[in-house]
Amino acid sequence: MNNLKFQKIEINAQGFIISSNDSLFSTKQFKNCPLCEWSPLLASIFEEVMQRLSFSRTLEIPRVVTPILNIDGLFDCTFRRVMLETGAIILEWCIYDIKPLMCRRNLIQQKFNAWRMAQFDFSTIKKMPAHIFEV
Amino acid sequence: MISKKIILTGSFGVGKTSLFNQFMYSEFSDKYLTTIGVKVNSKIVNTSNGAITLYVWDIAGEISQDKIPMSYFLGAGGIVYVLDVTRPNNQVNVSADIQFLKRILPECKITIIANKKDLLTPECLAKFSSESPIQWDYLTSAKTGENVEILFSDLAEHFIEQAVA
Repeated sequence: MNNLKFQKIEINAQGFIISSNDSLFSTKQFKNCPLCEWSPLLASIFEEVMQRLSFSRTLEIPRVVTPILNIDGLFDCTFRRVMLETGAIILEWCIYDIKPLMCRRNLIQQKFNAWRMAQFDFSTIKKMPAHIFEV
Repeated sequence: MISKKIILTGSFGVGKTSLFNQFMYSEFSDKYLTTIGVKVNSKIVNTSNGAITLYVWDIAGEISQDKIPMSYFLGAGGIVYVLDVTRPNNQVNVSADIQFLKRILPECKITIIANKKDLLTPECLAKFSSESPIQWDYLTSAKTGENVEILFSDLAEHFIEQAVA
């Protein structure tokens, strides 16, 4: 993921932004309220990550299609719980823009899945009741 | 407010995204669009014992559950496993998938949904219901919305009761 454009956001235990390099989008409008209110993705894992994620571990959530902080795209996200020198625990959220890499793959996956859905899998007939096919 | 993370999972093309869209936005499209990765959204559901926020993760379908990134399952309180009543070949892996999910998420509530009810005639549906080896919890139609709201309301009730107990 090193050569991908990414944004790093640091969030405190209350969910507020401490810092952001704003390389993908501006976070100015999100400064005054907990970030979870703007991101269902973050809200759904925030508590779990802040309480249970090991400090040595990076949680990777790949291929997020949901808009992140109102920005549409396709992102890989990583989350890391970090203890500062002050003893405070923060969350480091890195958002990688993978749209340029994924556009072609999306197209291939779409065609592949559509093709597979159209296949009749004869190998399953003996395992399933025959009447299912009598539509 | 109490919140829970729910994961919609199952093979590809079974209607997970259609269920997601029906529940979140009361929308349905006949067009098939493969989900790449994960979509997340939230909805507040009111129950008889209070409100709960459901965070629903609609994840890309895989033939087998062990192909899904494990990180998607982190902190999940509920799994909605979706299968397609019109495609028997996607039901072959169900038992193995459910066992796998129970192993990695032992405390998670797993609900099995048989979707696309609207595509079968009542006769086919009756036969299918009586003879299918798979025990599902809800028979749904993402297209008509049948049982979709009920499914999530029942899950919400379950989580609220669990939290109160």
